[in-house]
Amino acid sequence: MDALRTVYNDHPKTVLFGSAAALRILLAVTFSGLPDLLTGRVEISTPVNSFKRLQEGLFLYERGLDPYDGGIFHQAPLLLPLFSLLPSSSTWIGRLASILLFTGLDLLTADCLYQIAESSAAHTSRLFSSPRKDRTWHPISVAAVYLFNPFTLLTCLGRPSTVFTTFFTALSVSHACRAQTVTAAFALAIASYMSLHPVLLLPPVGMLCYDRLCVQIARKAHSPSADGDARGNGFNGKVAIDQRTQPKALAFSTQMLGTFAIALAFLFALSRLLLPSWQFIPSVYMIPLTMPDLTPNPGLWWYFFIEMFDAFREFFLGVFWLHMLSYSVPFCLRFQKQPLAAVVLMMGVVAVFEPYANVGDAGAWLSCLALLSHVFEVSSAHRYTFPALATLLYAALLGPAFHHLWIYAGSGNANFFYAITLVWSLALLILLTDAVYSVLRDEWEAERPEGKGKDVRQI
Amino acid sequence: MKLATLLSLPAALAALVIASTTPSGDYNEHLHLKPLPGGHLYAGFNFTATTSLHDYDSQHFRYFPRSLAQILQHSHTRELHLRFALGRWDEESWGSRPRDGRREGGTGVELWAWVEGDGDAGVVDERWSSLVNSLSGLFCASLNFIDGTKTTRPVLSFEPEGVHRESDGRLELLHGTLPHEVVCTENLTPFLKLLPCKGKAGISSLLDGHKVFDATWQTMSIDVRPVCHRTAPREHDIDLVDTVVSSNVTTAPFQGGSNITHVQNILRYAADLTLQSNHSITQHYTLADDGSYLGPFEDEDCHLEIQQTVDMVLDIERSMRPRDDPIPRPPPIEQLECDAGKSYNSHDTCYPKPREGHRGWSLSRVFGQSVKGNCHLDGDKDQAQKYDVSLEVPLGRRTVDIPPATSITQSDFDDLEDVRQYRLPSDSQDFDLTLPHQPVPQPPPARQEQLPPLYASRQITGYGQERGSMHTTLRNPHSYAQRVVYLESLPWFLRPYMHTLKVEGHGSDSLPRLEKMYYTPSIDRQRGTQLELLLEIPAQSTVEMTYDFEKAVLRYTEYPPDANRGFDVAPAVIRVLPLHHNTTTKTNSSESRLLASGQGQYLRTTSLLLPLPTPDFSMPYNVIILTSTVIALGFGSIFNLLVRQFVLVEEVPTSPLAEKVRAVVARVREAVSELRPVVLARLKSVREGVGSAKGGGGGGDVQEPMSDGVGANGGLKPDGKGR
Repeated sequence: MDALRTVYNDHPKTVLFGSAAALRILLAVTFSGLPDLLTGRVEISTPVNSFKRLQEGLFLYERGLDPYDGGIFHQAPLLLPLFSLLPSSSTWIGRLASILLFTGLDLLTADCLYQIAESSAAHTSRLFSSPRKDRTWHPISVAAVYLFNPFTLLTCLGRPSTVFTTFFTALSVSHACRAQTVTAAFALAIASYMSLHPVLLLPPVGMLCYDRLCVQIARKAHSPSADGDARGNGFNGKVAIDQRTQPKALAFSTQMLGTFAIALAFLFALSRLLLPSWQFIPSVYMIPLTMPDLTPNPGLWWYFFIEMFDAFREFFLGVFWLHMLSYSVPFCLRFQKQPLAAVVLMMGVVAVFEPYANVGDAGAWLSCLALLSHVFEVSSAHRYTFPALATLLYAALLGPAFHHLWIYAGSGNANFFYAITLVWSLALLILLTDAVYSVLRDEWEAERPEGKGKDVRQI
Repeated sequence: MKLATLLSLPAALAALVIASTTPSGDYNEHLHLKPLPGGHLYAGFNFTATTSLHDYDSQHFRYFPRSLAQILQHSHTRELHLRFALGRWDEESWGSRPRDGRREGGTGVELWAWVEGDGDAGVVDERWSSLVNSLSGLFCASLNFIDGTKTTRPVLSFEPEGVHRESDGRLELLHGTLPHEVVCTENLTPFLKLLPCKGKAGISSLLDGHKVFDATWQTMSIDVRPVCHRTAPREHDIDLVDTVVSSNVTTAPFQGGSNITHVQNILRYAADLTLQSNHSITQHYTLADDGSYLGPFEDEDCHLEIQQTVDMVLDIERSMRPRDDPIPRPPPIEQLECDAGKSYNSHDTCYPKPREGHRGWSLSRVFGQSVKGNCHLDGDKDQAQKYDVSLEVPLGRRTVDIPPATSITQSDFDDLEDVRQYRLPSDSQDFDLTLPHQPVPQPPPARQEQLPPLYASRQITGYGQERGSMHTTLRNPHSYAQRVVYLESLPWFLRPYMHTLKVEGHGSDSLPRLEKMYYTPSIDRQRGTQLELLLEIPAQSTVEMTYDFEKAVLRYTEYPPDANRGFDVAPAVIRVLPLHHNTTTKTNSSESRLLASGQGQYLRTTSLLLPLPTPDFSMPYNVIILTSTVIALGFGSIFNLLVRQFVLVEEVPTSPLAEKVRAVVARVREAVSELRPVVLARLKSVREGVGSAKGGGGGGDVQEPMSDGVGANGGLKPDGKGR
C-alpha cells in the first residue's frame, strides 16, 4: 500500500493514465460483447459517427466503390485508410485493435487537458487574473475527471468517430494555450474536417491563442533570462502589458485564418486523391445541415424534424443553425478577458445544440468544465448545480429504459424517449448557464472584491 | 343504330384496306389445365398477338392493342414485362412453376422494360417515368408510385427476351416493384380489354374477377417483345448460332458488346469469373428464348409480339361452392367421413378422412361459367394445328367428358402421353369440360423434372424496431451444382450493412461460391438499395445468406395511414442460370433445347413486412412548442447573463419610472398631510354639533347613570368615557 502511494506520489500521471487504459481494455476483454452493444446504442452512435457505419464505408472503400454514393456512411474520408490498416473488427483481434486505438485517443485527449490545465490559461489572461485562482484543481484531477467520466468511458468502448473530433479539438486548444498558432489552427482544421461544428470554435480559439501570445511576449519582456519556463508559475498577478510589444491583431488573425483554410484545403485535396469523386463533401458536410437521417439521439433536433410540417422544414433548419451560430461571437465579446472560458462554453453550446448530439460530446464537455474548476464554488453557492446534476443522472438512467420501452417492449411510444432527451438537454443547458454565470461573477468579483458572497442583481 | 352504322363504316373500310395490303400478324389463345395435388387446379391462360414491326411503326394495329402500343411508342420502350400477382406458389407440394417462372411476378405489381436512350442521362428516366404513369392510367394500378426509390437497374437478373436491332440505340433495363399493391378486378378489366375478343368469347370468357382473385395463387402478365423468325433450315442454323456465340464471346468482355448499358457504381466483387461463365451470360443476347436466330435480318422478318397470360391455382373445393351459398360452412355430420384409423377420446370427435383420388370438377362449376364460343380470328386456315384447351392429367388416370358436339376437335392423345387437347367449336356453342370424381389409389411420386430448380425462402429475423437481419435460404434439391443470380431491391428506409453479409453452405462438402456481387447502396429519399449476387450452389445442399440492417425513422408525413402495419419489402428475384455452360461445341438436339430455354428459370420469394418505429402522430404542435421552449430557455438565460452586468443588491439604481411613481406618491402624501389638520378640525366641529344635538334630544336613557353632566360636553366618545 505504501509502495503504491509512493509510486502514485512520484509518478501520478503515469499511474492515472495506466489505470485508465487498463480499465478500458479490461472492460473490453472481460465483457467481450460490450463494445458492440455500445456501438449499437443510439445515445453513443449517431448516423455521423457510428462505428458500424464506418465499417460499412470501409467495406465499400476497400472494394473500390465510392463509399459516399450511399446513405449510410457520412464520416471523414481520411478515417478510411486509417481503419483499413487495422484488422477487420469482426474478429476479436480487430476489436481489440480498435479498442486500443480509441483508448490511445482518450489518453492523448486527457494529456491535452492536462496541459491546458497546467498552462493556467483558465484563470490568468492578458487582461485578467481570477481572485480564485488558488482554488484551481490540480491538472491530474482534470485529466482524471476526463478519463474516469462514465460517459467518456462508454463512448471509448462504443468507438464513435467523434472521439477523433474531441481529441483534435483538445489538441488545438492545448496548442493555443502554448501560443502555437499554426499547430492550433491545423488541429482545429482537422477537427472541423472530421465533423462540421468545430468551425464554430475558431473565433474563441483564435482569441485564446492571441491572448496567450501576448502573455508570452510580455513574460519574455519581463524576464528575458528565464524564457524557458513560459508556463508562468512565477506569475501570479496580471501581466503588465506593453502595448508596443503586442502582436498586431490583424496580422495574427490573418495568420490563423490562413493556416486554417490551407490546412482544410490540404485535407480536402488529400481526401479527393483517395476517392473517385467530390461526392464526400455533400455527404459529410450537408448531412448535419439538412438532417435527412432522423435516427433518435439525445439531442433536440431529431424529434422536432420528424414532427415538423414539410413546408416549414427548411425554415426551421435555418433557424436552428443560425441559433447555434449566434453564440460564437457574443461569447468572444463578453469573455474577452477569459478566452478559455469562451472556448469551453462554446463546446458546451455545440454539445447541447448539435444536430446529431451524442453522449460522447456531452461527456467530453462535462469533463472540460473541470478546466474552469476555480469558479465551481460560485455556481454551487448561487446556482442550481445540484438539481442540474441530479437531473442529468436521472435522464442518463431513464433514457435507455425509455428507449427500450419504445423500440423493443412496445409499451411506450416515441414521446417517452423524446421527453427524456428534453430533460437531458435541459439539465445540460442549466449547467451551461451556471457556468456562464459563475465565470461572469468571478470576473466581476475581481473588480469588486467586496461583492464576494453577497447577493447581486443584474441590470 | 344509325350512329353505329355510320361509325362502323370507316372502320370496316380501314380494316378492308389493311387486310388487303399487309398481313398484319396473327392471334391465338390457349388454356392449359392441370390438376395439382391437394385438390388444386392449375389454369394457365395464354393470349398471344403479333403485329409486324412495319405496321407497328406506321400505327396499323389489328390484334395488337392500340392503347398499349401508343404508350410504348411514346415512351420509346422496346420490350415490356408487366406482372400483377397475388398469393404464393407452394413448391413443396405443387412442384416446379409454370412457364419456368418466367411469366410470374412478385406479390403486388412488378414491371421491367428496356427503354431506348439517346445518350443523355436524364432521357431514360424521363421516358421510364412517362411509361409508368401511362401504364398506371391504363391498368388502374398505382404504377405511378414507381419513382426513383423503387426503380433499380439489374445487371445479371434479366435479359431481353426479344431481338433488338442495332438501330434501336442504347437500351437500358429498368425494373420497378410495388409490393404493397393489392391486385384486384380493376386491374383485370383493362387487361381483358386489350384482348381482341375482350373477354366476351373464347377462353377469356372464363375470366371472372370473383374467381380469379379468389385463387390461392394468381399472376397476370403482359410481355411485349420484338421477335424475328428465321426462315433457314434448322441444322444450318445451329452452326450459325455457334458462330455468333463465339464471336460474341471474343469481342465482348462481360456485358457482352450488346447495347445494354448498366448503372454506374457497380461493385464487382470476387470477380474470378471464367470465360465459360462469360459465355453463358453473353450468348443470350443473341438468342431469343424460342430459339429464333439473331443475325442480319430484314424488318419484314420481325414482329412485335404481345403475350398476355393469366396463371392461377384454384382450390377446387372452394371454387365450386354454389353461388347462392358462398359462405363456407362445416358439412353436416352425416356427410362427414371419419378416419377410423385414428384413436378417439370421445365419440363426438372426428378426424376427416383425406379425400382419396381426385375430386370431380367441370369448367363451368370451377369458373362459374362455361366457355362462350370461340375467338378464332384468322379463319379456319390452320384449324388442325391449333388447339384452344389442353388438359394435362396423369396417364390412364381418368375419363373426361366433353359435351357431345360435333364441332369440337379433340387431339389424338395417345401421342402426347398425358396431354389431351381440344379445339373450341367453330360455331358459337358453349364448351364445357367435366371430370367426374375418380378415386386413385396412390398419387404417383413426383418425377425428377417436376422438382423445382430451387427452393427459396426469405425472412426478417431479430426483434425490436431498431435493427434486424435478413435471412435467405436457398436449397438445391438436384444432384448437380447450379448457378443462381439473386436480386434484391430494398426500400431506402431499410439500411443494409453489407459488411455483415455471410454466405454459408450446409449439407455438402463443397462450399457455395459467391462469384460476383453488384451492390448499389441506397440514398435517403432518392434511391433504393439494389443487391445482385451471382452464386454457385453445390449439389444437394442448402445455402444461407444473412446480413444485418437498420430500420430508419421517417418523417411523420412519410408514414402511410396504417403506419403500425409495417412496410412491404419487395420479393427477391432468383434466376437459376441454365446448365449448358460446359457443353459449347455439341450441336445435338438436347443442346439446342437447352439453348432454347437459355433464359433460365425464375422464382421469387414472398414479400416481407417490415415494421418501422413510429413517432406519435398526434402531437406535432406539442413537439414544436416543447422543443422551442427548451431552446428559448437556454438562449434566453445565456443571453440574459451575457448582456447584463452585476451590481450589489444595495446599489441597485432605481429605475426612473419607479422614481416618478414614488414622487407622485410622496406628493399625494404631502397633500394629504397638509389637509389632515384642516379636515380633522372640520370634522371635530361637525361632530361637536352632532353630539350636542344628541345629548339634548335622545340620550336620556343611555347615559342615565352618568348624568352628572359628562354626557353634555363629552359627546364625541361617549363609550370610552362612560366605562
